Amino acid sequence: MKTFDYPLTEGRPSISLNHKEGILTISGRSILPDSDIVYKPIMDLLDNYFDQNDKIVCNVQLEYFNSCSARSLMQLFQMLDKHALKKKHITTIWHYEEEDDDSYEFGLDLQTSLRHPVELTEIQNKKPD
Amino acid sequence: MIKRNCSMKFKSIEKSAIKHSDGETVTSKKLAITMEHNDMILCHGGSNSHELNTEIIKTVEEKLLDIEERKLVRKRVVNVLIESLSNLTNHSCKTADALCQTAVTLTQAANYYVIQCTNRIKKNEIPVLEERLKKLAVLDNKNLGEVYRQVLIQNKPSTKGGAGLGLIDLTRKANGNVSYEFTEKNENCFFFTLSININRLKAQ
Repeated sequence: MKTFDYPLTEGRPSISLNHKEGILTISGRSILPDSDIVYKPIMDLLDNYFDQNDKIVCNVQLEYFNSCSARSLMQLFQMLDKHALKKKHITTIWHYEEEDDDSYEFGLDLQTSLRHPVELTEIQNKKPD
Repeated sequence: MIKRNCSMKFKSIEKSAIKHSDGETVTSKKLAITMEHNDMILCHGGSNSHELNTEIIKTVEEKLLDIEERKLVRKRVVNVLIESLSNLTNHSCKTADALCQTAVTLTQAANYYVIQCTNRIKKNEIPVLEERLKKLAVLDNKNLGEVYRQVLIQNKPSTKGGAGLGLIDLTRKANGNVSYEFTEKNENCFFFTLSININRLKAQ
């Protein structure tokens, strides 16, 4: 199966799937007018991924995301939920910046709404030298 | 509380929108943004696109960093601006002769940032929109959060490319400090202005 890597561009998140380690990483910004264009292919790829793999850790660290992207992320996580019901081992780690209460609240929403485990991890602000 | 604004504020937006609308293609170097004018951080009027929104967001982020705004407030302002600009792109009633389709301003006061967005809307779209605004107006932040989560779980895209979450998200992030106004342009077309206040002191 082909591993893919989307480049980080303005408003478009960086997304990569490491087959060997079983890690999906979504980072940067997701401010997309039509987020399905970005997230749908990943969902298709993940569906195939679980034909040959039993576990995945989904690392999400988004600085900003719009509501259209929030909807797509929820679709992706709900799809992972379906695989969790098929005894696949799935963990989502939602990284939020210190003081970013809005991102933290979204992480809580995921924790409350999803069947698979969602961990919330705070990213500490870098202290100036 | 959702309430109707005075029309003076709306007129000031309309003027700035017309002033900056020259009908030419807007590039990043030609952004109709006025900085450092009294308490105005951003004033843009005219056409609206995803590319332009990206430039606007970047410029506002830099400005908020310059004035050393708290990170919590800075992120909230940018979050609300992102959603407001997406709303303008998705929901503005587009007409062939429209030189001025949208307007957005960001102003700062001692305790508040105010984001004000104006777009054209068809008359027949007003009742549904106003009903949604009124329903959100009576909810406290806890209930807004629950409504947001329910809509998120249901995962139904809105008919205009948005996620149906934008308005809830804006109201939630503003702790309910949202007001709106419909102003008649002609028989079939109105201006819809949404004002979102973000408290600089009580943001938490």
